[in-house]
Parts: sequence; C-alpha cells; structure tokens
Amino acid sequence: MPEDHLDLGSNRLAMAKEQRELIEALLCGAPHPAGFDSARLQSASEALARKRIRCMQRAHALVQEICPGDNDSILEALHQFIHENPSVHPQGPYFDALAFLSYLGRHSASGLSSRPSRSAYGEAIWKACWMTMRKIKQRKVDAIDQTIN
Amino acid sequence: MVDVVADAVAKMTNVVKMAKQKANERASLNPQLGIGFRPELARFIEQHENIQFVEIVADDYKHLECIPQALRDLQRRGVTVIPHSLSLSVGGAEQVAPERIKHLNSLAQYFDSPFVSDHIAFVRASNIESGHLLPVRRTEANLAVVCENVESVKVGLSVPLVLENIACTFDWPDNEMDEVTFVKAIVERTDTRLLLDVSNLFANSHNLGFDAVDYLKGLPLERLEYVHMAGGIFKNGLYHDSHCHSLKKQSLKLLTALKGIIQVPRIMLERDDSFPPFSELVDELEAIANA
Repeated sequence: MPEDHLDLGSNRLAMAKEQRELIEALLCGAPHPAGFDSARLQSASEALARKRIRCMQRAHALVQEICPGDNDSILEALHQFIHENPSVHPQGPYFDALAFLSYLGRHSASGLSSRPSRSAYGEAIWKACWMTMRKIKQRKVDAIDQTIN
Repeated sequence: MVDVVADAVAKMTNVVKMAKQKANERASLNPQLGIGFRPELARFIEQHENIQFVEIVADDYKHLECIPQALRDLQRRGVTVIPHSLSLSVGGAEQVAPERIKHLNSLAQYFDSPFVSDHIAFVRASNIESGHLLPVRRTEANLAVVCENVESVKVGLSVPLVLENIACTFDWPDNEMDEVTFVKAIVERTDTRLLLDVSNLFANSHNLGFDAVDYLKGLPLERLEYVHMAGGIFKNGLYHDSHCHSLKKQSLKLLTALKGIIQVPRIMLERDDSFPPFSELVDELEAIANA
C-alpha cells in the first residue's frame, strides 16, 4: 500500500496497542500476545532481567555484593521487582539499583548471598541524596556562569 | 655522467612517489578503526593511536558537564566522536520527544561530529521504558510511522542521522515483509545513512533463520556509514548479542563477506562489560581490520 494512503493517526494507535502488549508481556508478566513463540518471549524476558541487574551491579557495589555474578537464584526476586517497576529508573542505573535494594529490604528475597544491613541501606540512600544535591548545586553554578558570560 | 646520475635520481624520485601514492591508496581503502567509548576503556583508547573514532552512548551524557576529560582529550587529539543514542525510539508509536533530539544535536555540536546514530527499534510503550531495543512489527502501516518519526528527528538535527539494525531473539508473528526490505525502505524513503551491525545481522540470521549474505546483498550499501562489531554468546540454541563476550568467528566471516561487496568506511568494536585484558582488545581490533 502506498504510504500516502495510510492514516498515520490510526496507524499510531494500532502500533501503540501491539507494542504495549509486547512490552507488558516481556516486563510485567502479562500474557504473551497471540502468535508469538512463547519460549522465545520467555527467553527474551530473562535476558532483559539479566541485562538490568548487570547494569545495577556496575552502578552500585551493594547490588554486586548481595547478588554477585549472573546469579540464577536472584532471578525470581528480580522478576518480581521488574513486574512492579517495569521501567528502568529515569535517572539511570544507580537509582534503579537503589530502588532494587529498597525492594529487597522490604521483601524477604531468597537466594541472596547476604542480607544487606540497615547501615548499608542508610549509606546508599545518603549517597544518592548527596549526589543529587551536588548535581543541583553544579547546575546553579553553571546557570550563574552563563548569566555572567 | 651528470645526465646518468640525474636520470637515476629522477627514476628513484618517481619510484618513491609511486610507492607513496600506492600507500595512500591502500590507506584510503582501509576502513577507519573505532571503539565504543566506555570509562573502563579510556586508558586503552588513550594508548592506541590507531583508533580514529569513538562512539559515545548519548544517553550517558545527559548534561555536557558529565563529559569526562578523557573524551575532551581524545577530541583534541583529532579522534572523531560519534554520539550514539539508545532512546529516540524511532520505531515507537509515540512521536519522538523534541528534547531527546535536542540533546543528541547538542552533543553532535559539542564534539563537532560528522553524524549521529540510533536504532530501528522501539524502547518504550505505554509509559514503560524497557531499557532495551525491541523490534518493530514489519508492516506498511508501521513503516509509515517509523518514516515519519525519522523525518521529525532529521528536522531537529544539524548533522545527518544514521540508523542501525538491531539484534533479536524473537520475531513478530505476522510481518508483511522481511527485515532487509524494511530497513532498506526506511533508509531510502527518509534518505538516511546506514549503520550496519554485522554481529546483530549474524544474531538474527542464526536466531530467525535467514541467509545473512542475501541480507547484505539486499541492503542499500551505498548508504553505509559505519559498521558495528561485538561479541556474544550462544545459549539454549540462541545467539545473544551480549557485548560482553569475545567476537565470534561467524561475525568476522560475515564482515569479510561485506568487505568483499563494498569498501567499508569505518568499523568499530563494541564492548560493554566483562572487559578483557587490553591485549585481547588489540587482537579483536586487528581481527576486524584484517577480516
């Protein structure tokens, strides 16, 4: 069909629906859309979870410490976390890691190599606040510099 | 006697001139070599002067103040910096957010980049950010949406946009066309350039069962701007383009096939995790240069 005969508005609506169904199947535990190879979608879903925890491990030492390596035993807790938080944190993997640590703190996840201590959480949260404050301060300084120049 | 010496000198000069010309021709035939810039690789890149370009993940540098000194130093050395985005989602149903285009353009201007790149994929739907590149169902209707998204990105950029094929372990059940037809249609209709990820192509040919060389022959390779090469792993019969394992010989073989079809302008190595000793990276760069 030639492109100019297509209604982009309705195309976008149909596309949004099919993409939402796929993404919810991969990340939220929703049923697999009709026609897909279920085993392949399951494998893709696991690959996404593993990729996400690798990013967290790189970003936060505490995640590396309590869920070292490509650890199968953490996958159940990780999938539950992803079902509840399908989006990666908008501020990046460090904050995603903090959200995951906080989730683990609230749930008694099995398969952890150690339970993070209260003080470790405290330190992680404090560090996050400090980094945010530093960013805000730096942007204020930059804004003043721009005004002066 | 003087004439004989003059003749000999003239001949020698010609020989040297021709040798230089041949060396220049050979150099122009060799693709530029690059690597994905990651903080863990900064020292390696700094030490290797044969690296002529680096690609940065645009989403990692949300503000210009986040740009590390190592990158500024590379730029000063004359290394080309290419901003590579993971988040435009030109394959998504939503229109591309103008601030994402603006950000990508600001990086291109900062680094004086010759072009920027992103993927033929979607990464978000229904306010869910997947953090991953997902395939678009290949229909005429979706093709029209993707092309409209690409056009909107091009309007907001001061440099050309280059689009990359992605790797998948699954496919949509009711596609109307094959992948190469879809990619070709997008780059031709929107007049964009092509970033061919040879390892992604190998992954898809293995996982989805098609002939990778036929795919190469179906691409508009005259639009080829650069090539990605990365390692991956076979798991349960599927090939995962992990970017944290060594290069596979199948990808190198495919690169050789590509080089047999067209002169490749630039090739780069991607490594995102499980960084090997620098000597292994040197071997991999040599392998892609000599493939």
